[in-house]
Formats: sequence, structure tokens, C-alpha cells
Amino acid sequence: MLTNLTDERLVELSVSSDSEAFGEIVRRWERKIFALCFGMLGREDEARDAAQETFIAAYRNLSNFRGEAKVSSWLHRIAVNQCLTVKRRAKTRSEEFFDDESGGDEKVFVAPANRSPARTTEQIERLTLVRQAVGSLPTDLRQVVVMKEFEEMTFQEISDTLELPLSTVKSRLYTALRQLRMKLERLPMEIS
Amino acid sequence: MKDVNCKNSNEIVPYMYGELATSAATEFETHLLECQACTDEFAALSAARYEVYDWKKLEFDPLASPAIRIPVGEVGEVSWIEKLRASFAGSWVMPAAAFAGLALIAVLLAIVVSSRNTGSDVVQRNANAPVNMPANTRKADQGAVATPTETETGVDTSAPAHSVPKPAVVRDSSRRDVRPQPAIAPRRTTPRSTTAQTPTVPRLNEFAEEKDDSLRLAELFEDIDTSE
Repeated sequence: MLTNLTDERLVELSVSSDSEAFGEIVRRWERKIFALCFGMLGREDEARDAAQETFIAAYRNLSNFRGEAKVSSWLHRIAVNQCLTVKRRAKTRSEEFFDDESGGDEKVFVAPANRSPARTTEQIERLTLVRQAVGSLPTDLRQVVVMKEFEEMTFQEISDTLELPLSTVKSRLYTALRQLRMKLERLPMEIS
Repeated sequence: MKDVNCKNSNEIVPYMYGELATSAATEFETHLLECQACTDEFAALSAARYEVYDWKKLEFDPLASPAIRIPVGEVGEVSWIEKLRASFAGSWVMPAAAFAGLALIAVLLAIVVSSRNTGSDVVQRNANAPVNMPANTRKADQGAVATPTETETGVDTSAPAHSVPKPAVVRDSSRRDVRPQPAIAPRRTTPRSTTAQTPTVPRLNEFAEEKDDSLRLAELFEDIDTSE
């Protein structure tokens, strides 16, 4: 029954204390929000925490949702804010343990703990570089890359979610991929 | 990477993600065969995209979705106004009924208030009358206007003959309104006696000539009274 309702109607029901309605919102969006958080943060544990915090924050602020924006836009905005908060927190934490001489952002993008032992060292290094490269993109560019690759959204869906013109979304992705290419061309020489 | 100076370069990303219409995609493929800059750019962007795609496939796809736990009892306390708003969100019947009820109450209140005001209006106006006396009239009365008798006749026998401003000077339209009120008269007697003992020029002299239109009128009244 709830599966037939729109996101906006589910929010209305959630406001009137229908927890099942909010559960349906979580079921619909948890994977995409987790993907967004993973792409933004590059770490599984932090992505899980950020996704969890996103839905708790959304639930707490249900009454502030006025229906002017889409639910997807609202959730994405909360998720990106949570990711930025997690990054800031992680950066502060790492600064307490490491010297301040090397790059700050790159410290956050470390290899996940549960990586497969079957992976080669070269593959692991490559993935680490990609995480670092994506993590060093400006937030607005990184968000578009993650929404496209991790959430597998169309340009039109990204445009609707971010409330940006379609041309802006395309040009941001174009710029992001160009910057990634440049970073990935340069980084292999640094680690070898 | 150099900037691509080709007007078709903005088609690279939509083509790479398969979001060009079929005809536009075919046209762009033809263009790629002819434009080396676009071909190189397409290859570079595809390589970057592949890295991200590979990262996602290897590290994200195997992960299970997180078990989101919303502590419903602890958070999300909804205020009564939000519950009220939510209950009205579904249908127009309830808001319409509520509006009609409020309108009815407002009309009834208006009727009750207006009926009460009608009865007490006259009494209220009389009670307020002395308080509403204009300030300039009061000031003039202290200096020049003396007794109720003078007020009626407009003649001040104690005033010097050469004195231009007679008591009637202040008898303008506002003064005419206050004339019948006996409550003011006792206050006027004291200043008058002072005026009679000390021949000070009344402050009414300070009025500009253009404001003395009533002077001639008062003199006319005086003439009439004298002739009678």
C-alpha cells in the first residue's frame, strides 16, 4: 500500500506520526544515500554512519519539510551536509594524531579495512589513488560524479535533485572528469 | 590536457553515458571519426570514468546496505501544530468547515460588540467632553476670557481701551464648542483678576494678523450688542 505512494505523501504521513511511512522512505533511499555517502567519503564505516545520521536528521526535521523541494533533493542535501560534517570531524581527529605537513583531505581517504585479500597490490594502490582523487575534488563537482556513478542517476534526475540547469550538471561532470584524469595521470609517478 | 576547441565537445559526456538521442548519437559518432581533439578528449574522460566505475564495482557494490535504525520513540517528537497541519493536508472539507465556524463566531462577536456600543455611546461622549477641549482655547481663556457673562456678550469692560485684542479674539469655532461648559468657568476668574490688576498685554497679541479674521466679526457682534 505504502509502496504506491509518492515520496511527498509519505512525508506527510510521517509528519502525522506514521512511522511505517518513514520506514518506506528509508527503504527507497537507503542504498542511494549510502552510495552517495560512500562516494563522498570513500570509507565504508564513515559512509554507513553518515547514511544513518542522514535519515535520523531527516526524521527529526520532518516538520521543516515544506514540500517546496522534492524529497530526493531534501535527502541529498542532508546527506551531503552529513558527509561534510564527518569529513571535518575526521580531519580534526587525524590532525590530533598526525603531523600537519601532508595534505589534509587525503588522510580521510584511506583504504577500507575489509578489502579482499585476493586483490593485487597494484589494484589496491590504484583504488587508493582514485579515492584520493575523487576526495580532492571540490564538493559540487564530487557530488555530481558520485550521483552519476554511484547512484546511477540520469542527468535529468541530477538536475531535478540539485535544482540546477541540465547544462550546468553536464558541464560540472565534464569538469570533474577532466580534473580526475589530470590527478590520475600525475599520481602514479608519486607512488612508484 | 588541453582545452578542446570544438563546438561538439559538450556532447562527449552525454554520449559517454548513453544519454544522447539516437540521431544525435549517430551524428556525434560521425563527428568523432573526423575530429581528433574530440576523440582524444573522449578517451581521456572515459579513462577517468572507468577508474571511478571500477572503484565503485570493487568496493561499493559488494557492500550490504546499512541497517538504518530510527529511534522513533526518542526522536521526531511532532508538535501539535504539525499534527494539526497534517490532519488537514489530505482533504479540503475539514479546513472549509473550520473556516466557516470561525467566520460565524466572528460575525456573532461583531453583532454583540456593536449592540453594546450603541447603548453607551451618548454617555461616553458627554463624559469625555471637557477632556477634549483644545489646548489653544484653554491657554487663551486663562489670559483673556473672564466670566460666563462676558462670554455671552463678548464685551470685556476691564480691558484697556487701546488694547486691540479683545476677549472675543479667541472666540473662534473651537471656542464656541466649549462655551456652554460650566466646569471651565471657575478657572477663568483667577487669571482675569490678575489681568485687571496688572495691565500686562495678553498673549493673544502674539497672533498673526491673518489669523484675526474673527476680530472684525467680533467687533460686529459687539456693535450689535451695544446698539441693542
